[in-house]
Amino acid sequence: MTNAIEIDSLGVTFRSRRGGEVRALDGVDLAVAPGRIVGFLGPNGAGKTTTLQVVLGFLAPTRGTARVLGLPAQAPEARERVGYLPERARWYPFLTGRELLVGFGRLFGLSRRAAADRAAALLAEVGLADAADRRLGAYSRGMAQRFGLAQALVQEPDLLILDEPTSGLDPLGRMAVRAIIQRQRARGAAVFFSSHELSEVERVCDEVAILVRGRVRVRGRAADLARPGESLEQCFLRVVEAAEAGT
Amino acid sequence: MRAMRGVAMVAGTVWVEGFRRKDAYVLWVLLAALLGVLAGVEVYGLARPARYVVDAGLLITWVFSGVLVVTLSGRQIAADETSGMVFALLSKPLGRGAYLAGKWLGAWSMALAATLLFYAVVAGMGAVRGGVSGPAVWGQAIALHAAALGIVGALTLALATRLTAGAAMTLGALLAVVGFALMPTLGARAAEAGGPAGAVLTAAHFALPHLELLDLRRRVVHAWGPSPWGPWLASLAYGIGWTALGLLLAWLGFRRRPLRQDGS
Ligand SMILES: Nc1ncnc2c1ncn2[C@@H]1O[C@H](COP(=O)(O)OP(=O)(O)OP(=O)(O)O)[C@@H](O)[C@H]1O
Ligand SMILES: [Mg+2]
Repeated sequence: MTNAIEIDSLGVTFRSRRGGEVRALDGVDLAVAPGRIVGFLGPNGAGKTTTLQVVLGFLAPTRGTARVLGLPAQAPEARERVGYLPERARWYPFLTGRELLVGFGRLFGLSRRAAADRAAALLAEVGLADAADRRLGAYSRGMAQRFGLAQALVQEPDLLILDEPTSGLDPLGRMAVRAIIQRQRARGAAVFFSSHELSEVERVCDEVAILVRGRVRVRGRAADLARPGESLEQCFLRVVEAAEAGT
Repeated sequence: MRAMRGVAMVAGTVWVEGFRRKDAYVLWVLLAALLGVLAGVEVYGLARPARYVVDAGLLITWVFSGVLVVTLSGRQIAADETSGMVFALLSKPLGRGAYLAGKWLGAWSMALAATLLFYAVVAGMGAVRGGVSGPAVWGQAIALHAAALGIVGALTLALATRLTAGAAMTLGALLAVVGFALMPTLGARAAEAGGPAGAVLTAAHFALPHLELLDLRRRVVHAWGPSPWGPWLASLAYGIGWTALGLLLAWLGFRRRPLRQDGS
């Protein structure tokens, strides 16, 4: 079975106009199997968002390859089957949640009626039914984040890519996100998400990958990565410290 | 089919934004300014013929419509990039080409709708004073005006794929002003200057759009009657060709460009 995500020796180097270079990714190897939930961890600036943006075709890699559902990351067909929650999105403040979701549904070729039905179902699923007809500009941070999840699920994607889905959410919101992620896996979808909430990751993920300075240092089941008696947090700190001492 | 839907969705969003944010007020302010100036012409020139009113009104209409199309098309990409909306949009089945086409269509059609309002006001005020030209001339003038807005919008959008919103708007506006004010005499100036300066001017003469070809104001104002259809069609084709070129440049500028949220 083809992997939902397949990344091989991926490198991304940003060049600033003044000639400086930032090596954001330095040989990332990673695979996400279908039906698995994989957490993507790493300190700020490790390159998590950059990796996700390559997978979605927003950035072309400097080196290496990224394949999505067996397709090249840039392939338009991949867009049909991938859902994405961007980091820090400010949704069009002048539209209501319902309006924007209907618009997104239309992009997937849904009829007006079908898009409206889908929007209503999604808003209910993420707990925004009451706010459906309010402007997105009036949503709280947590509501905006829930909306972001809804818009990533429009076409029941085979692969869900979430950049910090629980950031800014209260404990209830986090529980809701966890439930949504688990429902997606139950449906057979793969979920790949970055996060700084280690306890959250420990609870929901089948596997984790820890990225430090543009390279995946360890990957596997959380229980296997941690030494006996070690929490994921302690494991994370150990891996990061070792990687930073090494480079 | 799917691409057309994407274009319509993006263009529709430009319209909704225009109406729900302050932009619609700007339009009413501009309309009020237009009416005010035209009323002023009335007061000062009690016995003046309609052509003074129409002349002043059309000049203002050109300026306002240019400002609208430049600001609408110049800000779209940068705004979507800083808000992160561009990532949400392009992660859906919406190609970058369809995205750009939608942005252009939204900005152009919205500026055009405002322009038609201005034309209605100007033609109405002219008609009250006895009128200047028949509907055929007005129709020809409006169609070429629409083509000019298409060019300016497309070129501004092309600039906006690589520059900040402010820089794209400034250059787009500059292009529009140069296209009008300098292009008609550029050929003569080039011959006069000679040498390297002349070469630069000659290059500009051929490389920049001649917006003055799309300006039928004098024909409307002086009631010269409709333009012969051959040259008129040629002008229209020229406008459409430049618009297509602008959209092609926008696509080339945006096709492979890395997207980033900080907007730098
Ligand atoms: N457009 C860009 N131009 C230059 N450098 C960039 C650009 N985008 C990211 N970087 C750099 O690449 C590195 C990785 O950034 P990235 O956003 O991928 O990190 P991250 O792991 O998502 O961090 P965080 O946890 O803070 O979200 C950082 O050093 C960042 O400064
Ligand atoms: Mg990030």
